[in-house]
Amino acid sequence: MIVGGEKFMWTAYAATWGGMLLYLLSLLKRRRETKAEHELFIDTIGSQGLQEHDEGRS
Amino acid sequence: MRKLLDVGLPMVALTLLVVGGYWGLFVAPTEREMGEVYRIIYVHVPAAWVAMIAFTVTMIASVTYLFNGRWGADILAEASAEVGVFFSVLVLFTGSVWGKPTWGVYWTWDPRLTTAAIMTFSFAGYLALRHFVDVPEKRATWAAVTAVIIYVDIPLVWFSVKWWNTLHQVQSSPQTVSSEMVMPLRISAFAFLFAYLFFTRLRHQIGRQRLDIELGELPPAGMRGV
Repeated sequence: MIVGGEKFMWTAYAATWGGMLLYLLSLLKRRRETKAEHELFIDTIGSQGLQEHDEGRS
Repeated sequence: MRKLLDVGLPMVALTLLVVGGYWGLFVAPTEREMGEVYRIIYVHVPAAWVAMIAFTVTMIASVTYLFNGRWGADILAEASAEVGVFFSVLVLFTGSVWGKPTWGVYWTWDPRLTTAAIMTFSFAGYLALRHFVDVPEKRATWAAVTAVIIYVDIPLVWFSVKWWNTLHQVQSSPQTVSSEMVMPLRISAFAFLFAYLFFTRLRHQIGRQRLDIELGELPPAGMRGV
């Protein structure tokens, strides 16, 4: 039996859970920034919405 | 419904991650030959399954875009690809950490490892391609075609352990794994699936708003370059 495998096991779990947390934080940060940009865009240019673009293509 | 998904998805994912993690780390029995290191399967295998599901969603959304030209399909393809790349990086990392104590090396050019690495870098390249093309229609079309082409690698990843002589073990099933080890694996698999759904939903919201801004600021379609 492989002995001393605990450190590898904990490394894998730490990377997985830590990675998920960092990726989640990155997504939330990007969403906050994009939302602010989008609100500014709506205020300045006006709301067209993707549905209108889609309708224009079909 | 939106509020329910915003709160429900992360709550279910987190609960299952905690239960699956605890069960896998502290309740499931130690494996006879691999000892404690085998517990990596409870994160490695679900991450691999979810990465392949994510790339399959990207491929289906890409084909859908090529047929109907709807932006929603393009945004979903991009969102799912990004989340898929994240999970496949986890697969490569946790697999390497497993490889050292069991095979003696962090990396070897084994067919399963090689096809998995090609999968990861191909879809990372797909995301890079999307950054290089400024015109949304061309970007969506080129990306969709690219996704369909690089998806060919996914069946190779899955069947590589059956078709070639590899160090990596073949897929296990509930019939070949101790029942005490199956349940934490199932719980972890659902945890990763819900995490994928939550991440993809967040990334989809970002992509939709970005495209909204981009399309609103563009000149008419006939006047655009690449």
